[in-house]
Amino acid sequence: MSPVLSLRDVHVEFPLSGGRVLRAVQGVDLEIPEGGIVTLVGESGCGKSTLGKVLLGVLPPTRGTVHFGEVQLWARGFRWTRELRLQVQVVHQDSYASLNPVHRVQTILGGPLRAHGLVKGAQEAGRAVRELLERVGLTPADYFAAKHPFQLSGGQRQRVALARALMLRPRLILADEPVSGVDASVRLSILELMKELNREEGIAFAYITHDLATARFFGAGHPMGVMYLGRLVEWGEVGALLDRPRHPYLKALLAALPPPDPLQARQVGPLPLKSLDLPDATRPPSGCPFHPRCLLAEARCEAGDPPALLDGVACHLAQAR
Amino acid sequence: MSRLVFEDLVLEYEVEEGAVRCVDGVQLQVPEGKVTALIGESGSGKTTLSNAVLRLLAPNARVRRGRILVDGVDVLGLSPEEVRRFRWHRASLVFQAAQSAFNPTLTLGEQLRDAVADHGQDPEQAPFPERIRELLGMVRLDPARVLPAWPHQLSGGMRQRVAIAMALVLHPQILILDEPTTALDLITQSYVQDILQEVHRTTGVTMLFITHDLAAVARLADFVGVMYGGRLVEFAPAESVLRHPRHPYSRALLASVPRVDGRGGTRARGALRTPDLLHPPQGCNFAPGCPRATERCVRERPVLEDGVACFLPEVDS
Repeated sequence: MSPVLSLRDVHVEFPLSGGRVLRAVQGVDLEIPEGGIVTLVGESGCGKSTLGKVLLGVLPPTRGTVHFGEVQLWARGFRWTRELRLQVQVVHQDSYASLNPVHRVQTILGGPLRAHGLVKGAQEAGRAVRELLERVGLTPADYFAAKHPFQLSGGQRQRVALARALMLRPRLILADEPVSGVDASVRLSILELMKELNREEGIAFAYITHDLATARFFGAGHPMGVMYLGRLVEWGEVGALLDRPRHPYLKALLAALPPPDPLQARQVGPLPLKSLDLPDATRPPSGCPFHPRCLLAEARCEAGDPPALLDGVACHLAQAR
Repeated sequence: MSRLVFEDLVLEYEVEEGAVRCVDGVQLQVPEGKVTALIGESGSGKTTLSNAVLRLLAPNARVRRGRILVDGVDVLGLSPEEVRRFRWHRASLVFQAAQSAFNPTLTLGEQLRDAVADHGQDPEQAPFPERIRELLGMVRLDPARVLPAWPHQLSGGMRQRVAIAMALVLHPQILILDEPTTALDLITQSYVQDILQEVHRTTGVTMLFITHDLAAVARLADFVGVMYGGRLVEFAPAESVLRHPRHPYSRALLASVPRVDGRGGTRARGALRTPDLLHPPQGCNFAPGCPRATERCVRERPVLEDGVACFLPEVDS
C-alpha cells in the first residue's frame, strides 16, 4: 500500500540575524502508511514540531520532497486544492488556544463544514455536529454543542479539537502533544479515542510527543522516530525501541524515566550523559550531534559527517555492534 | 510531634451554583523532616490544600471547619502581618510553573535580594550574600552567571532551580512544591529530582510536594497521600502505596498511568469519574464508581484509619 505521506531528505532552515542559520530539521526520511501510526519523540527544541508543520503542509521544506499520496507538495506548478487541504488535519497541544473562545462548539465545528460546502444549511450542519460530538464521546451532544470552550474541561476541549479534525474526514491527523496539557487520568481516554479512530475509521496518525510512556500506549506495534537536534537518530517499532534502545541518547532518556517503583527508582545513578544541556542549535557540534554529551564518544564521532540512519540507528558505535 | 498538621479541614469555594467542597475533612500529620507526596487528579483538592498552608486562597474560598497547625499555631487565625512574616520564614512554596513566576524586568539577583529585604532583613549584610551563593550552589547553579541574569536568559530548568533556592533563603522548616517537574524536559526533570533529593538531605526540610509524576514520587517521597474529591483516601509510606495501594481509587489511579515499560494504562470503566463536589455524598465519595462498594459505603463515610479511608480496603494480591 502506498504511504499517505512521505518525506525524502527533508531539511528546514530558518535564517537568523547575523547570517546564522538555524537548522531545525536535517535530512529526514519518513513514511506514514495509509491508516498507520507514526510516533515522533524528542525533547523541546529537537525539531519535532517543525517537522510536524512540514507533515501538515503548512511549512515548505528548505530542501527535500514531500509527497501526499501521489501528489508532490511544493513541486513546480503545485497548487493547493481544497480536496488536498482537507486530507490532513491537526490537533494542537493547547486546546484553549486552538479553539475560538467567542464561538460555541456548534459554530466551531459547524462553521468549517459549511465553509467547505460539505453540508447544506444550518439544520444539516447541526445534525452533523451532533453526530460528531457523539462520536468523540461528548454526550449529550446538545448540551456540549451549546457550550463555549471556556465552559469545558481540558479533556473535553481536546475532544472538541479531535472532533474538528475528524469532521472533514481526513486521511491523516497530526496530533502534536495532544494530551500533555490534560490530566493524567484523562490522557488515557483521549489516546484511546485516537486509537479507536485509527482502527475503525482508518485515519492515519502522526503522533508527536515528549512522553515516552504515552508513545508506547498509543503507538505500540507501529514505528517511532527519535529526534535529536533536527535529525532522526533512531527508528523502529515503539516497544522494541523502548525495551532495547540502541542510541545512547534514547538510553539516557530512558534512564531519566525509571519505573515508578521505589526500590528501583532509588537506585537511579547519575544519567549516562556528559552534559545535561542541549547544544546551541545555531552552532551544532561537528560530527555526530550527540557526541558532546555522549559518554561513549570516540574520535571518529567528533569529526566528519554525522552518522547516517542505517539499520534503524544513527550511531557509529551502535552500528558496529 | 509533627510540624504541619491538618485538623479536620473543610474548605469550600463559593460559586453561583452553591459551594464547591474542594477540601473535605482532611486530617493529616505531615511527617516532620520527611518528603511527602500528594497525588490525585486535577480537582482533587491537592493544590488548594497546600496553598491553604500559606494562606494563598482565592477570595471566594471559605474555611468551613478545622485548623492548619504549624508548630502548634493555627495558620488560619494569623493576622495579615503575621501571615507576611510566616511566609518564607516558616513555610515556602514553589509554584507550579515556577519558571514563569519571576518578574521579567528584574535580574534574578535583585529578586533574590528583594525576597530577603521584604522580610525585614538586609540582603547585603551577612549572612545573606553568602547564604544566596550557598543555596545556588546547592541547586547546582553558578552564582556569577545567575545573579546578574534576567529570567529570560536562563532555561526553564534553571529558573525552576532558582525558584527552589529562593524558597529556601530564609530557612523555612516547611517547603511546599506544586508540580516541581511537570513542565520540564525528561532529562531536566531527572536533574531537578536529583537536586530536590540533595536539598532534602542537606537541609532536612519537611517537604510536601504535589505531582502527577509517579517516577518522581517513587524517587523522592517517603510518604504518599492520595486525594480524591477533596478527601484524603490513603496515606502511607511511599513503598506501600506505590507497590500495594489499598484504597480502590488509589489502585485505579496507579493502574491508569501509562508506563514506559508498557505496563499501566488500564482503566477500570467508570472508576476514574469526577465526584460531584457541589453535592458531596453522605457516604464514601468514591462509592458510585467503586467495584467493591456496598450499601454501607453509600450510607456511611469511612475515616482514614490505618492509612486508608475505606471499609473494604484491598488486601495484597
